[in-house]
Amino acid sequence: MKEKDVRKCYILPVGPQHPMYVEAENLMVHLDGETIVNVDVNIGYMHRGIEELMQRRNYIQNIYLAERICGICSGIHTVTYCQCIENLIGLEIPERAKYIRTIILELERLHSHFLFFGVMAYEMGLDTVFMYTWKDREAVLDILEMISGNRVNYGMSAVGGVRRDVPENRIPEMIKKLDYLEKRGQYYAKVFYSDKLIRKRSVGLGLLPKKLVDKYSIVGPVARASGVKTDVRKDIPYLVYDKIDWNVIVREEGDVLARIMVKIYEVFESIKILKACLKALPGLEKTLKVKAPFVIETNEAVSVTEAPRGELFYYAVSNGTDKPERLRIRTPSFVNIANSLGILLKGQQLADLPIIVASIDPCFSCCDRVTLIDVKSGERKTVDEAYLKRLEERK
Amino acid sequence: MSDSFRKKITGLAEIYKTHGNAVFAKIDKKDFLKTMEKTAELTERISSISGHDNGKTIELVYTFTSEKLVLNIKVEIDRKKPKIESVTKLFPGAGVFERENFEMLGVVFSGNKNLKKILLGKKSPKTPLRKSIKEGE
Repeated sequence: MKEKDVRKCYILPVGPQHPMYVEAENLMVHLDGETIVNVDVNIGYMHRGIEELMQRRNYIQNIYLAERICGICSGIHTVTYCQCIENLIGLEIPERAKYIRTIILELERLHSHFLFFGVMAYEMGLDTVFMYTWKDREAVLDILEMISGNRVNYGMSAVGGVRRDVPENRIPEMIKKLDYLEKRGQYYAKVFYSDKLIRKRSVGLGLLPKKLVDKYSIVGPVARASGVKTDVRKDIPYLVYDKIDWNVIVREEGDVLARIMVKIYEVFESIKILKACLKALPGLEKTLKVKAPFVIETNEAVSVTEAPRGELFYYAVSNGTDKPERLRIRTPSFVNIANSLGILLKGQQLADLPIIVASIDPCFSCCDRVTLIDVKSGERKTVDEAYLKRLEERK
Repeated sequence: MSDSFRKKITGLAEIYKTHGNAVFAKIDKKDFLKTMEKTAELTERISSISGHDNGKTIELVYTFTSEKLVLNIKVEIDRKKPKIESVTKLFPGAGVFERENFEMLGVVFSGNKNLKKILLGKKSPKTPLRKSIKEGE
């Protein structure tokens, strides 16, 4: 679009503060009437300088710092960090630790996906589905509590293995809860796929063409919903993912509904992986951890894993001390938010913005205080969340 | 991809380290664009550009993940005049990683038209991941 045309548009700042999400981000939405013509994505409101902080702490302290990068994905961050440090040392962890890490990661994927279903339903105005899904999510959190004693920050991984064992006497109870979640997953598959209202608000909306996925490095379920078969668990297997029979879920449509359906079917695959791991656990040796050195020689290593939202990447450089020389973290949401929102929102209606933004499952805010600016006349008008909700309802 | 990559970059890059599925290759700055063009023939997807100030030079590690391989291509650039060609024409997704390295280490990527701050605020220190920046600055 030419600069002259942009000036004719309204520029609508969406965010950075919103009571619905804990995180803050800002979208400058250029509007022609109700149609979005361009979007500038401004991130960084939650930047805490963790990469710099990690360089000042030792390898053990950094495990707990990595765990606090994200509240939802705390398990995958510690596992990826520990894997990266183990690659620096050249350490092989015990088989049982690999299974326990896989169990934690898949449980985390389950609770993250159930949370996503609730957020999507809420954005569409279906509060009952939102409450149902979040109630079911409690079952996953219960299993995590049985294993680690915590619901969100589990403190399970350590460099060289895991810190706690899975209580084998409670495995039947866990399987029962997983059966319940499977049944609920089937119910949500039916609800999201067949409900007329949901279909009207999601089919053909926020299209992401397949050819742009790799070009813009878009990862995870967003990429898979556009027909690209990419999943680190299959492409570059880690832990025990290559020992278990499971499938990568791919859909071709590339719209909001496809992104929801990919995650619903991933729930069944995660349950399959979890059941296989829990079944194998009693037959494994009891060793949980091997000893890791406190000081690491000069070296460099990488670690790549599949977080609930996509590919997570760590790069570490050691310098012969107990602290890393450099630790680089690239999270899936960073590329998905910065690279895909501009593509997804172009040409869409303003009222669909919250649904499309929520469909990439970002860790970020939607819209609270909104200012409408007529660039031509300089007129300024402030509206609130209710305005956008009214627009949604009118649709 | 590993074998075809080895064939493509023969004479350009030196593979100096491997672990598991990861391969680390080092290239000279003058071969940079040529290597990137050859890598672009193998994959469209770039995963990360990791910048690191080692006190003498600035190291940039370009990571590409593809089936069964994590390919890391390292290039070293001058610390006083950190400048390198942008790869956004070959990998449009690299734009955000270049902006991040521009902000954190002051690396200038010539050819990137949208080279501006991405994560930090106006009052944040310039190039905070440089070795010359001390704690508390």
